[in-house]
This record gives sequence, structure tokens and C-alpha cells, in this order.
Amino acid sequence: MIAVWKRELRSYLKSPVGYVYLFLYLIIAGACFSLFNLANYSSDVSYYFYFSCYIMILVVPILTMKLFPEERKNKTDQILITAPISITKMVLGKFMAAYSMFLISLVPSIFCMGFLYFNGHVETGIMAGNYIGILLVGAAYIAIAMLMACITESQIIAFMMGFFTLLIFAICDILKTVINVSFVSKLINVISVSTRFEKLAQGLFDFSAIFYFISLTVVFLFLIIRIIDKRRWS
Amino acid sequence: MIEVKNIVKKYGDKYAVNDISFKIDSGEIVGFLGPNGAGKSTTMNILTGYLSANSGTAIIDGIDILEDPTAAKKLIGFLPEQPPLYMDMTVKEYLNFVYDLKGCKFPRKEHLEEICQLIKIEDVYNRMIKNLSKGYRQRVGFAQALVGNPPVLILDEPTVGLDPRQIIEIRNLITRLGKKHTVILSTHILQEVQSVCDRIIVINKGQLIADGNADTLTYKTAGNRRLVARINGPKVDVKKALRAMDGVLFVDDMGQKEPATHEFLIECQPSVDIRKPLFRMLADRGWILMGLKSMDMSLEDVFVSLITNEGGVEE
Repeated sequence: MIAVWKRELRSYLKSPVGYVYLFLYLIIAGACFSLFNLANYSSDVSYYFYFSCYIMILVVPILTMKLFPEERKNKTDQILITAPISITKMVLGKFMAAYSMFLISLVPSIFCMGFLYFNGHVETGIMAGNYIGILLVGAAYIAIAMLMACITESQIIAFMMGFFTLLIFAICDILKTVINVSFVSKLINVISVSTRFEKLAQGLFDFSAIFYFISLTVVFLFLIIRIIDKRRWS
Repeated sequence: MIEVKNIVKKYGDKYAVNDISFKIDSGEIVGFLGPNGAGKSTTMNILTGYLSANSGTAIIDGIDILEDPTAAKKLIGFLPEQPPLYMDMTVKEYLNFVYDLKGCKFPRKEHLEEICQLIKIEDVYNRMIKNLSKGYRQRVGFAQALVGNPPVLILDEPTVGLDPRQIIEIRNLITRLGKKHTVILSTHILQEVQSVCDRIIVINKGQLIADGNADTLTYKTAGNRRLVARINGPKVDVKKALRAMDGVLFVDDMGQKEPATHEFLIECQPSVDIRKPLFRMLADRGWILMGLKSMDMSLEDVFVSLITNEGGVEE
């Protein structure tokens, strides 16, 4: 698992993909910080994190799109699957690598938020809630986009499918106002990411929201493992 | 060392591998021979755990690949048809990755150096894999299979796409490795099995159609023995005398080749060696044997006859 994680992380840092991800995320998140906080003399951290969740819809698929399609194209999946490690460990290694990149992209935010925390009026609970929220949303988004990458052999399709799937998860609340059917709105309540994130962002330690994000991550990782294992049988 | 039991693999309703079973002893070099698409790669992929069989199983050194895949995979070094190389790594990084992936316990540096010396890739050790030639890539793939010193090596068409000099090098390497490892290699090149393998398993259309060493395969498949004799003597009498010999089934006159000398094709029962009685008979009658050559089948003929008539022989 560590071997896979190290390899993928090194590959991110040696290929343009990792830097494209970091560049896009940091430039947009940085712009949000300048616009909402610096320009407005505001110490309201929620905009930064709220927008980060939306930026991630675009940038997380960049991170995950090469994880599986490239292996299948170059047949390197053969060495992973025939190595004495389980498929679960291989998938977790890849997930950890993508998540590590995501964590790296959060590092600059510590300086921005630290600046607000020490110079403005930010409640510790809200700050912690926002960080917990974004860490959980990141994990769930990466798992979802990884599944989309796992079912295709093309990186472009992996990116597109990852992007649209995340978009549905993120903006389904807007759809709820458009489609006014009780069944649909119930379904949307079940999968909505943003309502749960907002709860955490308000500094509420909402256990059900935390449980939702963790189970979303676990379910999607489990599906990836099943799909890869299933492929060996068909 | 390796026991394959009734492996079946279906793609849709087509059988890629249909009920193949065999046993391989420790230290053997076994060649899988068969035309393209015969099921060689599928069989190897099942042995290494890359694919799962629909039914049947493989046991490697007492470990069932279905029951304990991780332990079984530790015993196998696998070189797939296309070497599984990461183009964005150097050879050094790649081999270190494989070392970690396989969870090896040997002293890392010495182990990898030893492999590089054996495979002769020391001079490209710090180069990016994407910049290597086909021959070097194949060797790096080979090195990868050797990491962890697995007792079983499974090599899927290890010499495809190499130049003749490289092919000879790889074959010599396999022969050397065969002293310490049990090796299975697949190929559709006949000289390769002939020069490298102790034993040949012929696969066609997903079925095992022959199993044995080159000689037994030739002997079993060839059926009747055929000889061509060039004899100096009266044509009609010679032919009659040949026909009268024990075990001779058929004699054909192949025409006059030298003054007063004819060639005859003699076909006789597989159990009979006619050469000694033939010589004595001709000497007794004062006829002179000018030449005698065996028309036994080459491995190539055996192969063609096996995959065309499907009847097959098994040991």
C-alpha cells in the first residue's frame, strides 16, 4: 500500500497533472480569499471554504483521471494485480496519493486562515468545522471521481464523468427548487453534499454529516475494489 | 511445484481455456506452445492471479491460488506479454517500487544490484524507462519478475520483438535461470522451445493437445516411420525385396537418381527399426546401399500436425 502511495505521489509531482491541479485550485481559492476577505476587510472564513468545495468539482477529477486509465493503457495494472498485495490495498494506496495531493493544496490556506484567525474575529469552532468539512468533502469527492476513472480507459472521459458526477452531488440542491416532486427532493436530501457541509461550516459538530461523508467515501472505494475484482472474472 | 487442475475460462460463451490440467516439477523449464489466440496468455494470467478462472484452480508449491492468493503470488515472478513498465520512472525507481510492492526482505541494494548484473541493465540503471529501447525495456520487465527471487518464473512470450542477438541472450538467460527456478514460458516460435525447454505443452483452441519432451512428441505424433534409401541394384527386384521385409508397410519408387541407382521411400511400423535388417538384406543380395536418411518429423511438422488434426496425444 505504501509502495503504491509513494509511486503515485511521485508521479503527481513529476508530471504536469499535479501542478495543473495545484495551480488551478490555488489560483481560484486565492482569488476568493483576496476578493471576499482582503478586499472586503472581512474575517468571514465561510466563503473561502464554501467556494473551495465548488472549485474541487473541477479540480478533483484532474487529480483522479489518470489513476486507473493510465495503468490499463500501459498494462501496468498487471504488476499491481499479480503482486502479493490485495486489490483493497492497491486502491487505498491510490486514494491516499490523491488525498495527499489534496492535503498539499490545503497547506497555503493555513496561512490565509491563520492570518484571519489572529487578526480578525473568527470563532475557533467555525474554523475547525470548516476544516473538518473540507477534509471530509475532499475524501468523498476523490472517491467518487476515482470510481468514474476506474470504469473507463480514457483519461478525458474519466475527467468528464468525474466532473459531472461531482456536479450532481454538489448542486443537487438547486435542482430541488426546479423539480418540485417529493420523491426527487427526498432523494436529493439523501445525497446533498452542500447542506451537510454547511452544517459543519456553521461550527455544528453534526455527527450524521460526518458519518455521511465517511460512508460516501467508503462506499465508493468499496465499489472500485469490487469493479476491479469483477473485471478479473469477466 | 505447480499443479493446474481443470482450468476453464470463458469469455461470453467462447472458451478461452477449456479444461486444462498439468503438473510441473521443481526446476523444469516448460514451454507453452500454440498458435496465437490458443489460450497461452490466458492460462498464464490465471496462474499468476491476474484473471480468475470460471472453474478449476492452480496450486503453487502447495498453496492454492484461490485460497491464499497473496501467499501464492509471492512465489511467482511474472513477465507479461507487454512488460508492465511505468514510463515516468527511472529503472532504479521502478525496481525499488517493485521491491516495496512485493514486500521483499533481502538487503535492498545488494539484491537489486545482483539482478541488474544478471540481466545486464546496469548501464541504464539511472535512465528513464520511456527513453529505453525495446530490448532494454524487455530486460527491465525481466528484472522486475526476478525481484524477490521467486521460485517460479512465468514468462509470456519473452523474446517477442527483440533482434536476433537479443533473442539469443534472453534464451541463454532463461537457461541459466532454469537452474534455480521453475520456468514456464510461452511462445509460438518452435526453435525457442526446442533450444530452451525441457518439456513442451502444446495448447490449441483452449485445450491441451500434447505434453512431453521434443522426442516423445515427435515419436508419438509421427505415427509410421519413414526412410528414404538410395540403392544400387535392379529396380523391380529391390522393390519386391523391400516389400517382403518384416514391418514394412509401403514402398514407393522415387525414381532414378544415379546410373542404376534408385531412391525408395520406405514406410514401416513405428515399433520397427528397419535400418539394420535393411543393410544386411541388401548386402546378402549384393546390392549396394548408397544412402539412407530418416524422414522423421521435425518439431515443426509435429506442431502443424497437432494443431491441424486436433486428435492429439497425451502422456
